[in-house]
Amino acid sequence: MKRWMVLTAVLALPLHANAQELGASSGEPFRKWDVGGGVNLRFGAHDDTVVPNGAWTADFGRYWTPHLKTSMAVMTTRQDSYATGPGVYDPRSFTTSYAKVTAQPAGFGASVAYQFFDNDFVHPYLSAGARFALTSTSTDVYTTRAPYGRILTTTTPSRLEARPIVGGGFKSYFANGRAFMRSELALSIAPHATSNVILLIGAGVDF
Amino acid sequence: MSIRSVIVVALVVALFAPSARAQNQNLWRSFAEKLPPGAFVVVHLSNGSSVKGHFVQVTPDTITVLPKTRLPVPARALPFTEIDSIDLQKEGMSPGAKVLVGVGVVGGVLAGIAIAVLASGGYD
Repeated sequence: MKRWMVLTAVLALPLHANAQELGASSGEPFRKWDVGGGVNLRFGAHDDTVVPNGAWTADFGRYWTPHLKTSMAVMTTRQDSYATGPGVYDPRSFTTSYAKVTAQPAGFGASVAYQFFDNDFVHPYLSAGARFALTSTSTDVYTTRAPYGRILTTTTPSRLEARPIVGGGFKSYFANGRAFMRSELALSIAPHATSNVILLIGAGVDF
Repeated sequence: MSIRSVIVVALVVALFAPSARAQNQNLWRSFAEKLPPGAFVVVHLSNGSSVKGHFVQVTPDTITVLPKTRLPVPARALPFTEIDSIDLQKEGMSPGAKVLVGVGVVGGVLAGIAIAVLASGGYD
């Protein structure tokens, strides 16, 4: 039985190979698209609404050669980030204020990646790109005299914020050669040159 | 060592090298003939490269191996004259499965720790 399976596989190979899309540059076979999803965990002391502590992400990629890929991604970004405590506390003042930066529920990202090795079951890769999210800052003003309470809230219009991201990881395939697990470590650069490390664990499929 | 000795050694090597190579070929041919179809083998070639894949068939001159690649490629007929050695190996888990198991184990341990912390009444 096994002998027949191997023989059938060998005979079917030329058909299968012809049916595949071949890379124009090197002749190595490759699948042109991949889609995946996963979870992002951020490690770092700096709060960042664009890159929250934990986020779900889904991405869609296109291979232009067996090694070069561009991707678009959407991810959850809903997270409030408070400014550094009371804005200004003045004992002579009657008010104090707190600022809160809020990101819209979803952000998006774009990246380019270079994948090493040809037609293997493990492909290390390096990637660079950026994540984007719409954020707004709302400032609550409280009175410090009785009756205590919030007396004013102002909210700025939404603005687009970007975070450059560089990283690298591994795309590890299952035996069928299509489904894969992705593990990636990346560095996001926030304003004032603060950075956070992001661990991405995900899965997906090539097609 | 005199020049004469060097020449003698060189002649002996030149005389016996082809026969040693032929012996090597016969050895790997008879080894290949005993392989079951579909066996996972690593064929080491004399040029330093190796081919990892499933054994398909053997002829008097070649062994045919279907390389283990992510996307199928044509089977390769490797002449015994170019073969240094053949290793019969056991096919392990795919890299994707290994990562999945690793993620599962780490996730399980973290969940266990979280449950233990919650069961002990929190951080207090």
